[in-house]
Amino acid sequence: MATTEAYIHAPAEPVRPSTRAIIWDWMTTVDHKKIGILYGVTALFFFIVGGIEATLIRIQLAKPEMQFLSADLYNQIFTMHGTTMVFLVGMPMAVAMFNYFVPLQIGARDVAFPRLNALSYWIFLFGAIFMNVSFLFGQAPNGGWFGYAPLTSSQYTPGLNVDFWVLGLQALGAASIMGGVNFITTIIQLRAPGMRLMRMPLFTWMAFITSFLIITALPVLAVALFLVTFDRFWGTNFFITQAGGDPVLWQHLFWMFGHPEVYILILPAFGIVSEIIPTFSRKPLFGYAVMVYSGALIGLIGWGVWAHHMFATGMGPVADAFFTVSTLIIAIPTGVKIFNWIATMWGGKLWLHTAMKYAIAMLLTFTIGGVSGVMHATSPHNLQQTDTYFVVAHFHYVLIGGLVFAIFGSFYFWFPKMTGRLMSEKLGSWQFWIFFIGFNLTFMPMHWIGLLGMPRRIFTYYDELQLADLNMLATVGVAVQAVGILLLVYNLIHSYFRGERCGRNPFGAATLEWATESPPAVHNFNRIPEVHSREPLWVEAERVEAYAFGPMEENMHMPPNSYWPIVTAMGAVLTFVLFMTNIWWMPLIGVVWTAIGVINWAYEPT
Amino acid sequence: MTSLVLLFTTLVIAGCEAGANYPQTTFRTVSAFGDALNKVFYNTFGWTMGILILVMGLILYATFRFRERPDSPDPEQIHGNTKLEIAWTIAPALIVVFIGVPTVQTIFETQRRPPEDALVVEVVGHQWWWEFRYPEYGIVTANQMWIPTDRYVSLQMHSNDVVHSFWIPRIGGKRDVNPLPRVPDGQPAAHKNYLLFNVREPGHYLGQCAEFCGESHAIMRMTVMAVEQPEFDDWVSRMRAQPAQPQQPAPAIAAAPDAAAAPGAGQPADAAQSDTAMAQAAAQGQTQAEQAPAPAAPAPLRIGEIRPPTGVGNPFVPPVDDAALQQEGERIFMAAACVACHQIAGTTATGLLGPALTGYGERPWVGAGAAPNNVENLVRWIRDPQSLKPGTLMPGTVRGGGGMGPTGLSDAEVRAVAAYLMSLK
Amino acid sequence: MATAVAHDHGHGDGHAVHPPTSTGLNTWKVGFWVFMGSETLFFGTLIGTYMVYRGTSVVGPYPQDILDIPLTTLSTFVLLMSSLAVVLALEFLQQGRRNLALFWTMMIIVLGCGFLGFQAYEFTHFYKEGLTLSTNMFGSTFFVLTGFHGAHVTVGVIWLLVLWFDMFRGHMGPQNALRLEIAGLYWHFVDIVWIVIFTLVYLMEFI
Repeated sequence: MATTEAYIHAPAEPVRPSTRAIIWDWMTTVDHKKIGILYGVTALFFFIVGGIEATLIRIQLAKPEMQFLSADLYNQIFTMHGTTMVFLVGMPMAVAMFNYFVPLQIGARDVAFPRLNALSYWIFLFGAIFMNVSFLFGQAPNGGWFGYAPLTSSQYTPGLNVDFWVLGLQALGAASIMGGVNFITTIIQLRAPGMRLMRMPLFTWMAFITSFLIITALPVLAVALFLVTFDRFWGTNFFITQAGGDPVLWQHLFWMFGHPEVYILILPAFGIVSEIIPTFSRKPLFGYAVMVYSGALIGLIGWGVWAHHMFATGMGPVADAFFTVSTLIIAIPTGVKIFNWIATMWGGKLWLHTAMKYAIAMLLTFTIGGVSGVMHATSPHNLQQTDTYFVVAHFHYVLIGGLVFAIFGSFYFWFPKMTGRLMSEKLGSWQFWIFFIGFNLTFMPMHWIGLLGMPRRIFTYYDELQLADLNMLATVGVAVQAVGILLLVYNLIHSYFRGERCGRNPFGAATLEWATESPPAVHNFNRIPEVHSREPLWVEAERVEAYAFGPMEENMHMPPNSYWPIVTAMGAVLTFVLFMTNIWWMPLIGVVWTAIGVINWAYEPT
Repeated sequence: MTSLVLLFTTLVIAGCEAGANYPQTTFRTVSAFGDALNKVFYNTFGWTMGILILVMGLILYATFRFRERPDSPDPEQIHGNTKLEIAWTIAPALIVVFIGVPTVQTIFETQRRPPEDALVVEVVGHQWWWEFRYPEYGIVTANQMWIPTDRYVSLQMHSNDVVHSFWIPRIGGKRDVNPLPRVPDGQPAAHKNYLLFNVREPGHYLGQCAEFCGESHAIMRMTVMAVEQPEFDDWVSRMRAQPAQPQQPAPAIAAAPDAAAAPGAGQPADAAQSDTAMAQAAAQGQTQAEQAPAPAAPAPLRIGEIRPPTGVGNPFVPPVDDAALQQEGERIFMAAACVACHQIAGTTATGLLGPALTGYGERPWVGAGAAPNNVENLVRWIRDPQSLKPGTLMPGTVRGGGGMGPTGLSDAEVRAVAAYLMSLK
Repeated sequence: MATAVAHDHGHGDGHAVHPPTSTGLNTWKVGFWVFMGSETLFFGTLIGTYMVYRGTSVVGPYPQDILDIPLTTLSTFVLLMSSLAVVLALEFLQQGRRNLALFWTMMIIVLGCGFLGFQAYEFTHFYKEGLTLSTNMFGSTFFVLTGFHGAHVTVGVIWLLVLWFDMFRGHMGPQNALRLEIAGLYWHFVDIVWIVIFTLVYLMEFI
């Protein structure tokens, strides 16, 4: 402790700190910006892992009856592709951005519970590693990311596959809940003076709403996973039909989590786009209040639509009708958002920076995903669409076209703030177009592949379906996308070392994070600025900057580094790992380890 | 990107037009059920495409019209416009009504209770094949469902293991096939999922399981033979008919060498007969081998004799119309482990675990879609089903499966069994 | 997870200098309320699962055969009294009356352990009657629901023990009574969950 603290608080030394000191610093950091970067880099890594899985899937499906992957390996890979992209890429990527920018945007020095923040990250990391280690055993999860019972029971999946899945997800879910609690508290408690709720940047608002969805939806998943875990390890009957268990209950529990999860993934994207579009249009966001309310409404109604994933389950016409209508209603606030973004651009002075290109592309592709979503909501025809490639096309348009485009846009937008260097525009433009074209090439044909009769999650298909050409097109599209991703990674690395240096606010944005140095100092602002508007750097820049860059606040206290989060995280994940031994007292080792971590943590001076 | 929209719409229309070429298309439906689904789909499609084109047009227009130019003025700082925002809240709300009303109507229309005179077919999902029971006729079959046209068919569905989903795209939407929870005594059984449709065009329609159900989910296919009533009646009578050759009493036991003491006066004759049949078969196999380069056929073997396999693949294509071979195959089938799982109407084979094989010769596929049904593939299937369908519970001749040991059938026996099964019509 | 958040709350306030918050509320307390919101969904789902599977056991023992209302009423009473002890302990700690605070905190712990003792007795009794996790739907849902509740009580007991030792060593007083207040919030929450469980699982079987 003493050494790290000294390192943190010491004035800039002429000698670079040793590699060991740097690693130790990152392992024990509680700085929201560093944790944000850790989340981002980890998520990017898993994005590439998930991308490799996607490529393997598309190679197998390039032609009918390919023998590239065995059936079982294919099932493992598509399961891990889905699980990885949702839990190890989508959510952590959003959380990375929340971590870095929410405290900056509301004018805080850190999140409300910095060590808890670190704990979330380490549990997430260890859980992610744990789940992927399953590949080394040749027993990666193979029940689909939705893990429908009773396929996940030990009767039908006796191996370790599903054990890795339920225990790994349990750890990831716990990490997410801690993160959600942290962000909600941060946003409620740590806003700068004058930063009323209705002055918060839209991104922070969406982080706020997303966090509420996280803390309410993830516990439902936690229970569902516990039930499967106990079925597998302790012989309970929750989803065992012979004893009276009902597999349909799993579907309800999973989608009660699963649909809010969809909004957990997409609302951050809405937030990012709502930052980028005004900045590069040089106009304030059109209809700020409506944007906030529609976001909140989406989050709220998002809780009442889960069973639209289950129209084929046989719930009966009344339930089908209810969930059809509730789902259609969600289209209204979503449509309003789209129109407000267009209106923001309208009459502006558009700087078509790569970030803006991604934001505009997001509007286009997300709308395509939106309308195919409305087609799904038409529940009679949903019986044709569900579990086909039409659905695959839909949710990739929403998750790549919506979330990933927004995230990539946010890289180009916020990278300068995080590193002090601009990303290469030339590479960026190429990268954008290649990825955009590859994306559409892959997923546009899937609309027809699905409606022409190809189900999802099949490791092979037959020539008689006449779908070989469209499938080949989709596979070619993946190759193009892969080039786009590699260019992005190259651009990130290249720009980190060689990028053009930028000032505090290279894009002339309006929100508080741009009233810091690039990258921001450990304490973010010399003094917490007082704000009187939604666009402080457009309306009251001088005054705000006088705070942010003026004389340092006296008696400022930043939390010191701590190794207890990582120690506690090890114990927590160890608990889940030891569950796999199926010896009842083994997990208790992890519990005791965790308890030791927690108690020491509680008595650590902060 | 406008071209993208155009491409999208034209391709959708093209897809409808050309739908006939796709055996699993959802566009060219052949039942009122399927038509009703498509009707709401086109309604939704029309409205949403309208919105899509409008939104894309606006975005692209705004992008090009307002992009920064050297002479661009500084934009006016507008924060909103209440009237506009109300307008574009109400407009989508209206469209939602236009989409929602017919949708809800169709939900109730397509899920009504079946009429009294509907043909009830019980569908049972298994990993990874389909069982079809016709309680009205006492018929059990698998992977191929025969139905009459112009009569309501009511499917009553449940699963024997995990969740499956029954889907024949050209007939209509899919419905999950759920394993039913056991209920306490005296309580009504858990409800089965149902589908109701009335096919108007005779034809051969393909479908497959649509809910991920484990390793060979991709190979859980089925066909629907929709035929006119007289042809359907004919099929029913064939399925219920006794096989042409009456059964010999317990030839199976007679054939086993170590069961020589078993009763049965006709034993020696049977054994002799079978030897002759095998010899004939082998001769025919050799004739075929002359025509096509194939490995030499092994010497005739006694029933019950087990030889190591000569490798995967099918060296011989037995003649299907060889009555003696078929009879021999039947005898082997009834003697071997086959009958533990399979049933064939009118024979002593009454196994319930695997697919019923009555009328097998008319099916399009082996292994619920693993390969086209012909003798060559059937032989390969019986020898090593895992090679065609990973994870299948059926044991092969050398490799076991589904908790059962290998069947130990020799190549010649396999060949005879295949000939027999192909003769079942 | 629960413990991590919980213990984080107990501290910090005494050591760190926090800037005034936007709402004027204490950050630990806000965070803890948010966490309890999450916990509500957790128990809500467990209780929901119990209710969905109510009456679906295909073999006995059935709840009516085996649940002991008088005994459980007693243990419920014990748990309710422990909530009263929380109120008193906090009050005395805030007034700086250390010995009384020590006494009442110990009372919470004793009553909590008493409740756990009842539960341990109940579980072993049911086990002897032939009800296990895998006997029937009742066994699965009952043990998992009440087991998770019992685990929460156990965490609470350990947490309060830690606080009691701090109090004993003189490290707690009115200035950091918040630590006890947050532990108390947790305790009340777990208590309320039990009232719901007691009503739905036990009483409803006999109405």
